[in-house]
Amino acid sequence: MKAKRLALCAVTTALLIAVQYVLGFVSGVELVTVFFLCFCYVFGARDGLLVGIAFSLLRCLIFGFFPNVILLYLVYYSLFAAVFGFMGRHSALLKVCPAVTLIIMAASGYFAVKGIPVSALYKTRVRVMLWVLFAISAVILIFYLVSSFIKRSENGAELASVTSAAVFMTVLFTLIDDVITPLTMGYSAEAAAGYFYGGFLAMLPQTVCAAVSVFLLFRPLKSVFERFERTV
Amino acid sequence: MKKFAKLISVIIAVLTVTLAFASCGEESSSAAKLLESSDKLVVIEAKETGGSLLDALNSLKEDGSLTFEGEDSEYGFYLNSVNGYTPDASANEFWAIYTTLGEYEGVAYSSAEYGTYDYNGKTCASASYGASGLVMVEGEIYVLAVESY
Repeated sequence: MKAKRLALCAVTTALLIAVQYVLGFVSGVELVTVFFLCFCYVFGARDGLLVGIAFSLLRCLIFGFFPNVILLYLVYYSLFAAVFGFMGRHSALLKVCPAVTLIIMAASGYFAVKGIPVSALYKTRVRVMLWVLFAISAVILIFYLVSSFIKRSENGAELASVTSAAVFMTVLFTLIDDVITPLTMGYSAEAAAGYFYGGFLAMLPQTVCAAVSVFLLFRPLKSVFERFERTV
Repeated sequence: MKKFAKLISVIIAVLTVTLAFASCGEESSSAAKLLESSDKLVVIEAKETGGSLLDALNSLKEDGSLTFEGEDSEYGFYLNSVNGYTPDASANEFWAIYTTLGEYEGVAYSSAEYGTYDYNGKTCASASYGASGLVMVEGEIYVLAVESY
């Protein structure tokens, strides 16, 4: 690996930690997701993996050392780097958008209709957020279909695919946490189920914000990273 | 006739003021009873079902029975300080919420697996929600205690 490229990975890691620290107090802003996504997409899985692992470990200096959180971040960001790194290199992966979006629509629609056993004070909020996620997924799917088959726009299809993958990965973050935390803390099945349902409160706004952030910022950030990529 | 009208007016005024005070008294007594309140421990008993623990805390704050500050987070309202005590972050302290309210209408509001707090022989389990997500149920106990991890 070139020294310049290594330096770029170090700077990106520092930026990710800074962004998470500064915007950690503002709920609904998912700049870490879109920033890291663009980096992996342009620089590939290898560099993404390096930054993901460094970020997962070094952020503990600020946010504290919690074994379950470290494990969650290492697993999630490694997977994240692999998914978006390969998406950036293999255009065939962009065609998974309809399948991913349909899975999200089916899951959010199912839970919105069935209801989730969360506090009575949060039931309406959770149901509304699930329908919002359903609607956003439908819009992404329509955007993908229009871009691919009517406008024949590769950029549009790429944007829709990356956004749907970001939505899927944000949901996956909570699902991985739903496995790791109960296992490391030794929760019973009952407590683990309570932890799973409680996770919807944070996951839904994060997912909606990730979709909007990626949809709006993917193209400009990608072009910035591509400019850097040519120089290193 | 004028005297009679004046008498009626006075009676109506007295009744109105009495009713107003009576209704004020009901509001200020709130749906929660404060069992204990110090700088590191607050214990509340729900006197009726409905609303959240945050509503009850706000009601008690209006009464002047306690003070608290906090902020909304993704997981609900997070207590920063109660009765003027702000947890020592360097000692990993925080305001924890415990309750005797377990499963209610098919939803688990606490779990003993997350931790317990004994108050007067009653075991309160660690709450699954913040103050804004905990439902007040008549007869149940809600404990705010400074804990560290």
